[in-house]
Amino acid sequence: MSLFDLTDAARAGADYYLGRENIQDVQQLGREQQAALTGLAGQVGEATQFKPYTVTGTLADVSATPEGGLTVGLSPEQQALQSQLMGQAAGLFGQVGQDPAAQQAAIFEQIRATQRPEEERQRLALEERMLSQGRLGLSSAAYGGASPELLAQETARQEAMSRASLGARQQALAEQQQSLAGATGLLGAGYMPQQQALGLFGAAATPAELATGGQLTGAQYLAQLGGRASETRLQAEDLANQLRLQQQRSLLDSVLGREATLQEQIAAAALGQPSLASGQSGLFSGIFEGAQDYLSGLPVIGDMFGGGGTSSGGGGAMVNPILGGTVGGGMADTLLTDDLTSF
Amino acid sequence: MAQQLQNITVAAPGFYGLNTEDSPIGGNPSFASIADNCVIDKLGRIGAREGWEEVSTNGSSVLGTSRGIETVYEYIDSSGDKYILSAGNNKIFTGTTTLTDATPAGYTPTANNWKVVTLNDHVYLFQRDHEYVLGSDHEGSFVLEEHSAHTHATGTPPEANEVLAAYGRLWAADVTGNKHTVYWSDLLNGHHWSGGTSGSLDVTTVWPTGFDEITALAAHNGFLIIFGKKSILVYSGATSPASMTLVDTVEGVGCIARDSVQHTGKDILFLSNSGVRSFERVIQEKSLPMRDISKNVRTDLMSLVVLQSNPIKSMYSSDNAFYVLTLPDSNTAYCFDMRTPLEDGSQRATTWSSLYPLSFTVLEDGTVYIGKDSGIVKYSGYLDGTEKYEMRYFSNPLDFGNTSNLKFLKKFNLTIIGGQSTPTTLNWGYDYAQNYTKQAFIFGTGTLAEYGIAEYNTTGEYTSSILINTPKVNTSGSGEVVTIGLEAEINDAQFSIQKIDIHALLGRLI
Repeated sequence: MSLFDLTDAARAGADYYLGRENIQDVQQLGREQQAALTGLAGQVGEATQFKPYTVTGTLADVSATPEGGLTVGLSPEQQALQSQLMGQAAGLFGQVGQDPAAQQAAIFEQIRATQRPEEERQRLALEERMLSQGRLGLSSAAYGGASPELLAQETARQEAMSRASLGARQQALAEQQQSLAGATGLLGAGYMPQQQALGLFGAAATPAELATGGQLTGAQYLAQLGGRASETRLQAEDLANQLRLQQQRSLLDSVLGREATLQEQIAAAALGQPSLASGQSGLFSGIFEGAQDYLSGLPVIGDMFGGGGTSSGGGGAMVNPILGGTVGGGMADTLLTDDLTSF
Repeated sequence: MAQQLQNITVAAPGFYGLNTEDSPIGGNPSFASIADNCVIDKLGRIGAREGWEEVSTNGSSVLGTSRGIETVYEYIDSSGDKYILSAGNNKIFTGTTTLTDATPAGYTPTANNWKVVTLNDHVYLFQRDHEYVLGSDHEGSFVLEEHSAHTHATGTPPEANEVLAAYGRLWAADVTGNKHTVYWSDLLNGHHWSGGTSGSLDVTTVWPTGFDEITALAAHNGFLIIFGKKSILVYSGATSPASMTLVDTVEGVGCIARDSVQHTGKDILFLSNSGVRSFERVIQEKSLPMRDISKNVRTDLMSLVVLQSNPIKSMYSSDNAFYVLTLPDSNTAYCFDMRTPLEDGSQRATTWSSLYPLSFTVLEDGTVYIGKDSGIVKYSGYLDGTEKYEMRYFSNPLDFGNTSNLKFLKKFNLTIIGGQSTPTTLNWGYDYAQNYTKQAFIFGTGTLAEYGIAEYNTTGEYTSSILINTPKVNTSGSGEVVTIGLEAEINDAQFSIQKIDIHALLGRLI
């Protein structure tokens, strides 16, 4: 092949042009597809977006917030009941948190208050008896500085006090347990309106799920249909591009001729008919061949389009069948990047 | 025309003792208006008291100018050793013939009015505002020491004026500033005043009169008797003081002198503000009617009692059967015969003068020791030391059962038992006058025969063991009532008036 073949140059330029057109078409198709899918995504997103809803009952109104939260609004009666229960629970919790000793002392005083009148009566009776017996002023070391009666009375009183103290301790602890249980119960009861409201909200979840499910299904269908539509169009566009490319190439072949295909070249070599390996001549192939001869002395042109046998851009070199060289990797990369980013 | 003489016999004159309370007119002639230095002897006659004999010989040197022996007591320990404790001149003595100062070293009494008792082989001496002193011979010899110096002593004992050993413990009361609390020691430990079964009883709320002060304590018939000045509390169950109870109170009668309380075995005598009382009758009769031991001399007795500033002491001698109450500031002692009470419940009373007893004690053998200014003396013999003493008997005015006739005394026939060389003066007077007509004579000039001194064919006389004098005295004068008296100087011989026969002529009606 001659260094400067006009036909090949024309072919290459035409191929370049056609390729460029095709690239632009593909890029345009990608943009349109992106726009279409973007629009579809918006539709799907809008379709799948959560729709807040409110469950209304006699006990409470429960609303789901757009952020996914819940707003429970108890009725005034329920709110008052909850406040009352919570207040009572707080009071009982306060009793639970009290020092048992203080509560014990309080209970002890209550027990002793019931015992003191009888003790006082017994004390007075003993005092009268001792006075009548002339023993009121008696003091014996054997009885701790008192009389046997007073010691017995004081012992009994101390025993009663001890029993009262022990009973008060037990009662205090038992009451704390009762307070704890009561407070817990009241606390649970205080939360009951909210639980019931949430239960009401939960009961309404099934219909909401049904509505949401349909919505989501529709969105899925929309997404699928949109995707398939885009894909169909993409295929159609791809097919159209191929057809147009084929049409244009056929046209080009008609005008500029056609080089033998590889199969043809192999077949020509096998058959020993080199004419078969030269392809077909086109309308302007003779013109260009003369021009080619003229320009064969201008190898610079080939360098201009060839750029070296290898790409310095880091990417692989692309053989340019039209210009008989390779297009630099940098341009190929540029194109590829442009395609990817623009799509 | 001459009238016939009437013979009036006054048998055992003064046998009823003194009576200065009843109206003398129409009274029993057995009462006396004066019976000084007299006792009722064992035969019921009025006679001379016994005198005293010196026991201690160094009294003047150890007693100095003090009043004398104001406390005397016989302590017998468990081994039978006997110690005579006495106090005077702010010292505590032991011994009889020789008074030895046994006051604990460093212990300085300021008074001698000790109350001494024995408990469980220890002797305890209490008096007001003094730490008590106890004595024992556990170390081999008798030693007196105060409570704080005693090894086994515990607690803080009351500085009590009264102490009683009874029911196995000491009972103390009458502390300066606290005259309403009885304290008791631990059982059998008179020096343990804390712990054990020691204790106290405040009787402030028990006095029936609302207020009183404890003056004395006594134990009798299982009772603890707490004497106030104007009331008496009787507690039973004192063997266990913590559970003893009041069983009786006596209002209006109390004890005014700590040392007037004496046990007679079946009774307790004490001096109240209305005379000498008997406790047993008080209990039995619940205070009504009160038995008044000194009923017949009450006014005279109490008029002297109020004059006393020094402690009144007393003594009961079962051998002599008398209760003696000395009034030291009046140099008088009242002697109550305790053999048989009179019909009115009183006891026959006489007085003692010139004896000047300050304190008494009766020894285990019945001997009566008397504390005097000179030391310790013994109630014995018929001389006060070496001196004669005068016995005086005067009857109440006698009307011989006829109040309206004049009486002309003609003659006295006296029967006197005893009396040896006893100068005697017979007195008689009329119509309450004190200017008696006197007739002096000497009884019993004979010498009593004593066993072993008369010998056969000698000049020794054989007489009865006791002299019986029957002097006859002619008298004069007249009056409606007659008072007769006899004054005898007791001279180392018994002297009792057995009988007085009076020959009188009843005159016209006045």
